Amino acid sequence: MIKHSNLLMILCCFYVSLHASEQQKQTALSNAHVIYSHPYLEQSLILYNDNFKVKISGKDRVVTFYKNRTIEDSKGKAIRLGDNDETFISSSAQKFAWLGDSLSVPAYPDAPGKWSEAVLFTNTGGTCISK
Amino acid sequence: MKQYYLLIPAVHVLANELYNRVIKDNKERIILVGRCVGAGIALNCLKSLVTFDENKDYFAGSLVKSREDAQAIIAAINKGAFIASVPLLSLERYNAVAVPGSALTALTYTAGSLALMNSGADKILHDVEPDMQPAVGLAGVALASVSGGYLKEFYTKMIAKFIVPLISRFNYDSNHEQPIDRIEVLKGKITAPVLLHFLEKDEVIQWLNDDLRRLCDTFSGKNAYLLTTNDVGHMQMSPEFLSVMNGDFLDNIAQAGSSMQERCELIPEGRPKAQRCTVEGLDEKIHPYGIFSRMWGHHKYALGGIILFCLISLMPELRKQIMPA
Repeated sequence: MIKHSNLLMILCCFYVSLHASEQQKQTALSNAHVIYSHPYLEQSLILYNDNFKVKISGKDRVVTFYKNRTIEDSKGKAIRLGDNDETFISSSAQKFAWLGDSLSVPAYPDAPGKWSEAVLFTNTGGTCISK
Repeated sequence: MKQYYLLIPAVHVLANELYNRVIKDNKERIILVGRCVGAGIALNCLKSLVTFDENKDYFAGSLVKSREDAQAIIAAINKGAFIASVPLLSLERYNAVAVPGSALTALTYTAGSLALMNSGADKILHDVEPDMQPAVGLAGVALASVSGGYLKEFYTKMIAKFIVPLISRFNYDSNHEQPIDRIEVLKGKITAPVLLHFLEKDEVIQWLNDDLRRLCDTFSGKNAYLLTTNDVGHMQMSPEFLSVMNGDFLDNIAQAGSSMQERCELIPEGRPKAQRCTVEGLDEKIHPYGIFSRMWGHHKYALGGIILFCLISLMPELRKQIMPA
């Protein structure tokens, strides 16, 4: 009986350690900040959703991801959601959000293509329209 | 449009961003990701930060005021990572500048050949002994191969120096250094994991040249990797690059000291693998056929012009042989 409980304990520890390592893989470095130095001209693959309000901005933008929340796009891919209920959707910035726990995009002067951000707002979900 | 590409206003914006995150927000680690021009701006910023004492005026007007600030930023990046995807290393390697430079070189040789022919210079070739004609031809090819590269370089420099500022209404400062200029100052200074990504068939920038060698030589080390993919065009984000970056590279920076080379060897065949960034074997990649690739790669327009000239010069002889009277 004791042996069985030990075995159970070992299995539990193994599961917890596996789960912990998986969690660690999600966030590469603690207290790491990602700065995305964007190209001036970028083909933004913007994903529109009824729950997103996409707006164009040229200001420096900082988003943190400590709450580690995600939402899914129309293809089922996870988009990292900012702690302030906002997420980068434009350009390629949000693709690099996974590397750290916060992300910022400096707004270069006179960039011809301003990057856009998407603000999530609570509304009834609708059909995602890609592009 | 003012065209601040790669210039001080853009570098200051990035330097301010780095300052705000490292000094104000106390971020220990910075993962600096740059793409195309953005990567060029990042390289220019890094070079200026590591050589802060040499040119203190460069950061005048920005938040970076002291050597300590610059060192703190570099230290934070060294604890994080530097990722450059399809970096623009020089405006002269941008196709909008490089291709007109090549075209002007070709036009110069064609015009020169025609002028020589009209002046009766082609008759000189006929007067040469038949045994010596190949030697004369080879001498012409050698002359063109030597001068063609310089001529192309001359034209691209002239376009970058005069035409680009003109287009930008003189907002573009052509005297500002390019990302590849003085790149060697970063050698040994950036010890963070580095991932350099290029596209095999890049329609916007020319990268498979000696600039790549200099870049790899600068970042060569245990933690620097070079990845080439062939899945998308320049304007799209490469899924293969993202796959490698989010998998192997992420693991590498998460577990400091682990060998990414070993991890790459585990990747199934057919998938792109990031190679250790080294200059070894790079010459073969840049010039696969040795001197011939070097000559053709740099001087194909010059060679084309000379061959055209030789063919036109020999045309009467050829005509006689093909259609005897």
